[in-house]
Amino acid sequence: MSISDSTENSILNLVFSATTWANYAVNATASPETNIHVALQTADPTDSGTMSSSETTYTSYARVNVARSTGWSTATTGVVSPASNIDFPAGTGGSGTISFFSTGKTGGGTTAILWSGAVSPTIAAGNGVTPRLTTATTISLD
Amino acid sequence: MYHSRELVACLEAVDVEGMRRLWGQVAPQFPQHDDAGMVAAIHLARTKSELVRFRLRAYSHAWLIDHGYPSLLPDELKPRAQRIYPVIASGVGISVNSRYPEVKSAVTLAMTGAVLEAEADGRLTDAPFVRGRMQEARRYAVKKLFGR
Repeated sequence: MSISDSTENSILNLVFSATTWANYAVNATASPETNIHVALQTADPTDSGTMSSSETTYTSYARVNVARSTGWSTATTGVVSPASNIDFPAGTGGSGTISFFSTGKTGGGTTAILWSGAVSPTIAAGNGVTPRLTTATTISLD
Repeated sequence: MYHSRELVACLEAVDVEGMRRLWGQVAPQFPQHDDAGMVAAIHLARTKSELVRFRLRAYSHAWLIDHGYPSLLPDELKPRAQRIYPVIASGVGISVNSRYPEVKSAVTLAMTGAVLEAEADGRLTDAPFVRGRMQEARRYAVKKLFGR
């Protein structure tokens, strides 16, 4: 048994782009999230982790908001991508190798993860380095 | 023939024509680059050469990384260079989901490999190209696992 491509796309579009899933689900009417927060990790946050799990700590790091209105591509074949590169603040110190990313609700702290995955190639964070997730980034539901 | 001064001048000015002429004289037996290849080769040489002014080496370091090439700037100089020209370090996020961890792991590994191959080809920032390679790797891995 599997989820059809159409259903995968509908779920992804509802979560990432606030698009109504006709006859099944609409975006939250009370206090809907307007952004998806994207975080960077130095190890796999795992299915039981939160956005804070193994989150990078280079100096000046902050999670980045990607708008649910325009920030993500329309899902096709069960895959969604960011519409533009996701640039994190340039490091002013610290270090660490970024090897995973996660998405979740805004607000910071130990937020539940929506989707997470690997980062390839890994990014050596530190002074003067701006980590970027390119638009080739793929989030799949399959 | 000794062209050290001219070579350094070409490196500092990113003089593609001048460098091509000199390269043809000092190393005719080696491959001769086209314009794009020569620009990349000049930036690579600038990061390596101690005869080039530091600010120019720092710029080339940032240029090479931004274009997906390796830099030959020594590690101890990189923090100083990156203070002058912050670099963008690109990565591709790959979120694969399956109820079976071994499937997730195999598909992620295949897609990660595809990204690294694209990087080796100097095309990490070419998103449609990278995405195409990743999808191909994903299809291949799934077919290998499930025969479909």
